[in-house]
Amino acid sequence: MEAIARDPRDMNALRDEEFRAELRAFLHAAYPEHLRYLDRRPTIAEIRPWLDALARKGWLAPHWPREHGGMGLSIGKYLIYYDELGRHGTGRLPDHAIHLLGPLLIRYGTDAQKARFLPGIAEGREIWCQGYSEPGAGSDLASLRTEAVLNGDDFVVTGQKIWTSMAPHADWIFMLVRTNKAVPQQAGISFLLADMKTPGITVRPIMNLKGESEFAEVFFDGARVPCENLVGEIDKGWTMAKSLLGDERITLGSPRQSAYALERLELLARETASLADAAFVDRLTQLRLDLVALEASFRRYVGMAEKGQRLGPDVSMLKVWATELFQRITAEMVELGGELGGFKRAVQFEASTVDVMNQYLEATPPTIYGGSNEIQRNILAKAVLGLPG
Amino acid sequence: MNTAAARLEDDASAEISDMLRRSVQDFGALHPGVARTRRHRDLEPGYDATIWRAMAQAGWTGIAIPETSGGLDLGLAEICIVAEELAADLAPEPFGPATVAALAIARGDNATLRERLLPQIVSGDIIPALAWQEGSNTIDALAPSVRLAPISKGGLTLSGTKRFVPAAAGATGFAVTAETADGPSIVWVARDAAGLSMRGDLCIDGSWLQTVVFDGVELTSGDVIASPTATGPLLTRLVDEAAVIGAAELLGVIRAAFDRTHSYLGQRAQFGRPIGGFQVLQHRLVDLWMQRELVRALLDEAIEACVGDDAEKRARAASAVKAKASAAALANGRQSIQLHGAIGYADEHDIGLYLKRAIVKSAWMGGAPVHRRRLARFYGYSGQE
Repeated sequence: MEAIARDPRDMNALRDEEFRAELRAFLHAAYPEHLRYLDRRPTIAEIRPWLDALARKGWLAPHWPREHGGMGLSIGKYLIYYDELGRHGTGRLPDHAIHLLGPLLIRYGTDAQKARFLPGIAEGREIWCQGYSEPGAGSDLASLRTEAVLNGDDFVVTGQKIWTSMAPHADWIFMLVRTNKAVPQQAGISFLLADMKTPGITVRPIMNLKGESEFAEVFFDGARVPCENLVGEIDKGWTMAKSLLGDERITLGSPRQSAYALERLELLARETASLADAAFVDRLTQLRLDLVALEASFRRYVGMAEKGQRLGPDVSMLKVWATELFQRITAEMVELGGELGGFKRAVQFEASTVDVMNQYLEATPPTIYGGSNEIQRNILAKAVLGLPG
Repeated sequence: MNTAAARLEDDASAEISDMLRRSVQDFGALHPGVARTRRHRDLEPGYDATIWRAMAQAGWTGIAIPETSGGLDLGLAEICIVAEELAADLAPEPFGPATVAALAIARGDNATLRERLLPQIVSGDIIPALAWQEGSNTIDALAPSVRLAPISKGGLTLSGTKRFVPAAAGATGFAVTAETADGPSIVWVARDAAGLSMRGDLCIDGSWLQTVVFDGVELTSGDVIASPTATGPLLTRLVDEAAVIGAAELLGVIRAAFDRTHSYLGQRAQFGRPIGGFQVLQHRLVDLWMQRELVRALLDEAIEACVGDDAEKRARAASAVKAKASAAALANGRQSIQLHGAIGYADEHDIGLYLKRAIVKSAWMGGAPVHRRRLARFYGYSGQE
């Protein structure tokens, strides 16, 4: 591959189709062919060449402002960016810091923190994991108990995080910790950054239903974290983390996964000659129609965001509908497949391969993460429909 | 057009839409449709003729008719606004079906007939009905078995039976699709023409679907609204647009039933608190709300698709929104009753009226199964169109 230079252009100036063409050309040139449509999350070592290529091009942080090393994309271009990556079948990047930490540091970090951490994220040099959930604090995140006690110039951190994606490979963790027990739960939480090599931090990988050690438990046993790693004011971590639930939430409702899964279902239907079954055809049509409705709603919210309207809590409907549709499509795949539907590995046909179980299991966590769909419905009921608490 | 000009135009059209929407809502506040639905149900014609006049005064009878004939000459987006709001008010007057009939006449290739009929439609003197359907569960309008045959020089005779013509008991004339030797055409038949007879089937919302029999009705070539050359493209487009108008009506019914249910959940107390505070009911209401939002998004896209010239895109979008709206309206109606509890099953409470309207309107211009079958063909899942 020829050397990639940082692309100095403002991509918002391109027409959408031009921008898509640029992305496609870059994907073809720089994304490893053997990692397309992988039926698992690629390892850091596997994805490293792509991570580096994006970083050198200056394309790793699409929605960060350009002065901080991002692409500064508008919401419309941002969605095109992810759409094209998805269409190419790229593997998931270690992107927690890109999505969550970067914007938070840009808004609340000190100049020193920005200078220290942002380049490492935008250049893909430092891998981050996100320490929010705890064994006793899932949907009720504000009840988290991992404690950070100020001792001299350090916070001494004790407690446990869980479901921490990429923890075994991460250099750093950004986390919510309890710094005050004398105030209401939400008012005693702070936002802290810790080097994973800090003595007192240990990681135990957890195997998921796909058999991958994608997430982990992280234990803190008196780990000393310098107090300059506190982001924003003490006890204000909850408010800061919540304030970032902005326009990016729309990506959780992207139709891309459902659209891809439906293509796989259509392929499976053809390979198993199932289109002769009128009952199945009606179910398939219903799923396609539900996808069409999702796409229409998604475009509606994108259009609102592009006009500069701040998206309200109602955008959560996209996440609920998209993730549940993804599950319905993949459930249909398993049922349609019969015995094939239970195959652990991708189902091989003469001319094609359908990763039934991979799609099915991939569709399992999205209704849980990012605020479970039950929590999303609670939010919609209260914040949109104004129903009593 | 530059962005600033486009935005100005957007703003101007949004303002017209808002004004139109508000004026229909104000009309409903003055003349509540729910009360009329109760008062006129099960009686022919099923609605209030004086209110139709008032709607004509407001200009809605001429919403799709050219200004040269006294109409407002607005587009499908505006028709859908009026249809949605009137349906939300549960107005029993046949705004949707009559507008579709007016569109058929306005788009025909008989200028003389247009000039005669359209001003009277605008004024409310003529309430037109489109008689295209012969079987149930279909949106195929292009193969009528009703026949229009020549009997003398310039003389024609119309024979056959149309079914499921909505609100026809109050219609003063019919735009009838009929097969001729040269293909399907559309012909105008006055309500009092010799040889025309009607029989009504009462629907659960108190409205009527008429079977209209043409037994050698004598007409002239001057009564032909659309010749065989004009009729094919006219009906193909009109069926899609009518399905979209039907979806807009269903959205109105969904919205109104939802709002009433939402407000009931905030008032009704059990176990010492409003039942809207119970999580299981909140989640059900959220699910109904999501369906409404999905219908809204599909409706906006279908209206846009109908403006363009891509016939397949238009048909797909029309079937998508009608399939979704029909299914959502039925589910929303049922669930609204459930969330009201026993009072929801009492006739004295209005919530049942919305379910009944949803049932009847969900079938007009094709129910969910009809449109899903058409979509299955478009999606390549079953035999091609």
